[in-house]
Amino acid sequence: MRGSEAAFARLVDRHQRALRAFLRRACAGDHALADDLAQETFIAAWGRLHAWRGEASFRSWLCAIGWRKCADARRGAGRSQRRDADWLQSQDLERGEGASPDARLAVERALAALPPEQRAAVALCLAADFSHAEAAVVLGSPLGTVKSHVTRGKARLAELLGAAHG
Amino acid sequence: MDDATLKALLADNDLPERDPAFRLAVMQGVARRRFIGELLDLAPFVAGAAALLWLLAPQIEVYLRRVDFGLLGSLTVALVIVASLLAPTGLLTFRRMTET
Repeated sequence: MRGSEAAFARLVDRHQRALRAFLRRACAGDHALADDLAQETFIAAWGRLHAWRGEASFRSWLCAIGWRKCADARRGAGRSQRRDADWLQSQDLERGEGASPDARLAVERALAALPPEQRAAVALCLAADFSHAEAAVVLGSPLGTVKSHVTRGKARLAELLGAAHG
Repeated sequence: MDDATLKALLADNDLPERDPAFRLAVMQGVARRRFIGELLDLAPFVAGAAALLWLLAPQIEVYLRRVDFGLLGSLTVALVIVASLLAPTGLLTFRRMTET
């Protein structure tokens, strides 16, 4: 048991960056919520390790759990809470959050403007180098839908970022 | 804006490769979950032992009244009962110590 905990801690070390980056994008830049969800994801994964059959990569499996948790959190949050969070987030972004480059802030804003499924598909396929098939497994969506989300998301991002830079 | 530029912008994040604080928080959560799991594992045994004692209590009482154990004997009987109640916890502790 202790040995497996040490092994699991190594898995946390190896995959935390990818999972947290994905969830931060999926949560429209709400870093605190994303990190909470990432912790919950790892704890849930620990309890369900026996269910991972190796059909998908461990990273995909983790992201799939994280995505479901993110969707639950989105459903659970009230409309007004979301509005407040969005407003606070926009204030943070306008203040520039210290030394963060403008480009990153523009990307976060543009990502936040996408619908959740498009945002997640773009975060997986463009930012995290997942294949469309892997992203389909993570999001629990048909392959064609994911491809469509990525294409539309990319176009919308390019449009938003082009406008921001133009 | 081409795919490569978009990809480069998206790939940029300030998360560290390793984050000991995050790992610690996760492992604390894992330990909490394991502890609760072990409590739930033990619950049926404890409930069974309590039910058994409850069922046997009248017989034990009759037996203890009939036989005069003396002080030492009564203490021994009390110790046996307490030990039988603590046995599941002791077994669990032993199992955890041997797995470390």
